[in-house]
Amino acid sequence: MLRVRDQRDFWSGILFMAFGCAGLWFGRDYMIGTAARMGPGYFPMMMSLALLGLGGFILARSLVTGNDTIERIALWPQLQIIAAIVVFGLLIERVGLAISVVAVILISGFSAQGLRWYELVTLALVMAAVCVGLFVHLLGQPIPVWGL
Amino acid sequence: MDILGNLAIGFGAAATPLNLGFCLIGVLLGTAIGVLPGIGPIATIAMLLPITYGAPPLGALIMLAGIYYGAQYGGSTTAILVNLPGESSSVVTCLDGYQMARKGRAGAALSIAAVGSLVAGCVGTLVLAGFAPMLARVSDSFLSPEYCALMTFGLVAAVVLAHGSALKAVAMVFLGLLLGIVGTDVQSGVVRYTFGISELYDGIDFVPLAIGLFGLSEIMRNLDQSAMERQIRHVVGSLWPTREEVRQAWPAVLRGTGLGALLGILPGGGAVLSSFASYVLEKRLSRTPERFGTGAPEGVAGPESANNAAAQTSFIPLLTLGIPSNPVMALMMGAMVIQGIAPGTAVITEHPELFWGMTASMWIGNLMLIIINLPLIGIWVRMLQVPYRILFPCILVLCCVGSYSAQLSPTLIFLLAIFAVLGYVFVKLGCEGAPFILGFVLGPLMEENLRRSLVLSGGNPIIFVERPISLALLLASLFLIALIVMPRFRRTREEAFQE
Repeated sequence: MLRVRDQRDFWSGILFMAFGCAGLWFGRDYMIGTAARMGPGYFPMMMSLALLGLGGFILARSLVTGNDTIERIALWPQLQIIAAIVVFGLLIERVGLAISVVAVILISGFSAQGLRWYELVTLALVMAAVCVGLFVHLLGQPIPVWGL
Repeated sequence: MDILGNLAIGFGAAATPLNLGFCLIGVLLGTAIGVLPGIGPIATIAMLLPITYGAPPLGALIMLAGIYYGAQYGGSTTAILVNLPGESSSVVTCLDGYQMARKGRAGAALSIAAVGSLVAGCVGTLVLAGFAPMLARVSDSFLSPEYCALMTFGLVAAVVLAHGSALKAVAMVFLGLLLGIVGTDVQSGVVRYTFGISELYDGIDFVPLAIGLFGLSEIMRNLDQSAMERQIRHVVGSLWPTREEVRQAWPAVLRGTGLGALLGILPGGGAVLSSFASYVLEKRLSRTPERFGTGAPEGVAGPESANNAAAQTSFIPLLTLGIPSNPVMALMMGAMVIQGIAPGTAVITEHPELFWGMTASMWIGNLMLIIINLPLIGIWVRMLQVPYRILFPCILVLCCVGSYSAQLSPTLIFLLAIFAVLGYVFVKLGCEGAPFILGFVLGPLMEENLRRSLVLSGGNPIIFVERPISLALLLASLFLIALIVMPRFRRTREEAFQE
């Protein structure tokens, strides 16, 4: 029976093939042209085909040889990080830098065995002040501090 | 030779109070972030890249170079004190550096590393000053086929030097090349793979990509390891090495410097390769190889000098040919493009004060490192003791604000999130980021030069083997591939990465 012997290679193969397919699919309207006169689609097509081929080979190989499993994933902290980034992106132009920074710290730093709530709030306020001072005042970046 | 005259111009440009200030800020920030375990020079530079936006071009480059040296220095501090390599080039330093720390000689190990780096920095600067203009003249004769062959060689070298599966590294190069051409096609004006997002018309922004891939993915991986508590059990002790230690270290410093300067110039070379090579060399040459791994000063001096020399000379391919030889140089290239400087031959001829100023600043930066950092060692030790649960939200904030300030658009923050996830997936699947980022940076260049070459030859690929320089580079690439395929070399490569 066919079974996955190398988990990491198996999923790598799938990932590369997915990128290859996406490259071909979303690039389907770009003109390919000839080797002497390459169109905008020529190079991406070559790369996508290469990814598809290599991905397929890596996937096939993972079914035959190897012995590797994916290490433990701590899902919750990872989701907190991504959520913090996305919230920052949503907030930055609505409420400005100061509150967005506070939000990032509160979302990413919150955990049961981590910081106590008053430590977390202090850290958030300090970082907000540091960021405003560093990026807006010292470096002169035109980032809104309190929203537009 | 007019090297001295040119260096004088350089020191004149770099030694202004403003530029000295930039250098100082870069060195300090680089050390501060580089000291944090698990964060090496690549992640440090990516995170601090936005800080340099406000500076004028020379100031920005000086600051970046400072960040680079600082990060490397900070990495070795962590390696010596807590046996945690911040990045792959400090792995070797862990071996003997930490053992010296266990014997109470941490201070001596730190000084040896710093002085070795300074010596290597001086020599590296001279090599850069002497060699770069020469190479720039050679590269004047380069046409598209040569550039294609050179990039191929660089990418093949990156694959050979990647950890783990070479096949996956090849796929990462292709993936990088594919993502690199996102945006407007210069020749036809067709907008590719942008999904109507205007922020992507000029290509995927380098800053969120680099921060997500090398900075955030690192944080996320660290969070998977629940026991991230670090302890420094050993006192730093006297910073002065004993006479015996000096006697053992200085020849290693010189050998490491020479080896590093040489290996740094090669595409795909750089800090990691040269520190490994130097360690192996020192162990081979030593009359008492059994001392290695138990705190031999040579084991610290050689690799630390080698990686610093290589760090300097690896600027040569970037500044003369416009081809980055390793991920750090890919970041430098991104930074130069952001500053409106096209890397390549033109840097030396059109912006001499920029080229020589940066060269001179590297030397100044190394000097600052040693003057500032040895007395400040107590601060870095205290930074190492800050718990990770406080550090990582702060780093996350810096990453977000940094990405946002790249184009002042929230879209970049969402790109950052995407690349953080992608980078994390790569780490978990054992896919290396280094070949990817090189492919990404070289993507547009590769496509353009491939197109031009084939226009020259009417679509016939024979043009790549007809021209001698191009042929030589392609044969060298083939040779590297052959090495990887040959089982004997494959074993040594795996062993080398095992250590």
